[in-house]
Amino acid sequence: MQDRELERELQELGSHIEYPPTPDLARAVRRSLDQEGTGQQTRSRRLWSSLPSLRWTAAATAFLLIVAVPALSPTMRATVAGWLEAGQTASSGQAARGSSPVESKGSTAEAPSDAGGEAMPSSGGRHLEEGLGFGERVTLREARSLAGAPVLVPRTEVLSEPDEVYAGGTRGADRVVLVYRSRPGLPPLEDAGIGLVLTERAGGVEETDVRPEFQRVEVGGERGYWAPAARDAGILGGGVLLWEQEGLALRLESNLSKEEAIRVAGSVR
Amino acid sequence: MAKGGNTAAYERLVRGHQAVAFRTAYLITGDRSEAEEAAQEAFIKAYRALGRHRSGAPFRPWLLAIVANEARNRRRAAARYAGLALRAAREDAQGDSYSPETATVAAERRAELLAALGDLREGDRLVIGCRYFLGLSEAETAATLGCAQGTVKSRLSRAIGRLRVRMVKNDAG
Repeated sequence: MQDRELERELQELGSHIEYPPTPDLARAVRRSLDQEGTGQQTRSRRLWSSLPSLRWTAAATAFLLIVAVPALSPTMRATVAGWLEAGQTASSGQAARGSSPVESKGSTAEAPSDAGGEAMPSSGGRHLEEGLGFGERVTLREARSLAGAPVLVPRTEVLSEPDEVYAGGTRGADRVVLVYRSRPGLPPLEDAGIGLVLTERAGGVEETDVRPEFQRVEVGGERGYWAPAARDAGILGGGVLLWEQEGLALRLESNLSKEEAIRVAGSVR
Repeated sequence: MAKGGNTAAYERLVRGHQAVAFRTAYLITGDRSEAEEAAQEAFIKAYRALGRHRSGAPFRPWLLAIVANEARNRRRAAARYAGLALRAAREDAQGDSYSPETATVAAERRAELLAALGDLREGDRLVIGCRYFLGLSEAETAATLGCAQGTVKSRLSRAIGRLRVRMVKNDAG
């Protein structure tokens, strides 16, 4: 039996699958959201809605506090806590901007489609990181000036100058975030459009009792830690590589394989 | 956050995607009520996260990623995977120009294929289900499976190869 013939049979089989009737989710979802809006939701729903965002609470809190932070040394815990703080700031910032999600996407919500391939209309001028709160958008040169420390950049065939640079933290540039768009050779992270995020902050990575989720790896001959992509875990759903270089703690998140991520990290200078 | 006018608009958006969302969840959970809960929760979470959805990006792959995540969470908690079923043969035969015998043979073949599919591991079943049963694009399949788009084709090829081996074994047995 040829694979092509099997593919044809599978396509034909698909039209004979018996699915249960689709429930009226639209009405149920609206009812649930309306109840939230009038404060009639359950306690657990109220808890979820009071939290600023799904990704930054479920992902960051569950992963960083439960899995990652206890597994890391005090120095690293502080570093990771800083990354978590960035997410919380982001979420608060998003809420503070005031407009509800559907208000900002109103035209899309007004134009549903069964085709499934419709695109959200561009609001124009949005940055890759919008809603993630990496900090203030700056140029690479400004980041280097503000940080008063090296800002390291990957140098590979597909990565060099970042598409966007952000400076954040309590003193304005404690943390520098380089954002790269997805492209051939750089698959998108969960947040569509972003392919890789490199976060740099002063500090070091100490050896610790790393759990399986954060396995010990070598980056350019130095120690580092790798956690594979997990939709429920990573901040942007990607694999995370932590390492130390030139007095900085670096965090690289992407959907690259471990080997590819380490190769990118090894090119950073 | 959920104001009347916005939720009314969102209700229309949900209606346009609820079938594929529910079927995707059903493909993963194999259970009607779990699929309904997963899809409903996914739409609610998607609503809250719409503000971070990148402008200009397709909505459906993004939604399906959330649906699949919810479904997987419930799938893990489920006692067993019930699996897909075929519509009754006589229902399919209605309107066909084939003879009843031919229709029966075809139905048996489909049942064999579905049974062989059920013997595959979950990853193989899902990539085949996304592409051939749900008709999802490679990008949508990648989002649903939580993998890079580039790996969908290779995963599918390997899954079909394993299905073929399984079918040959069954034929020989």
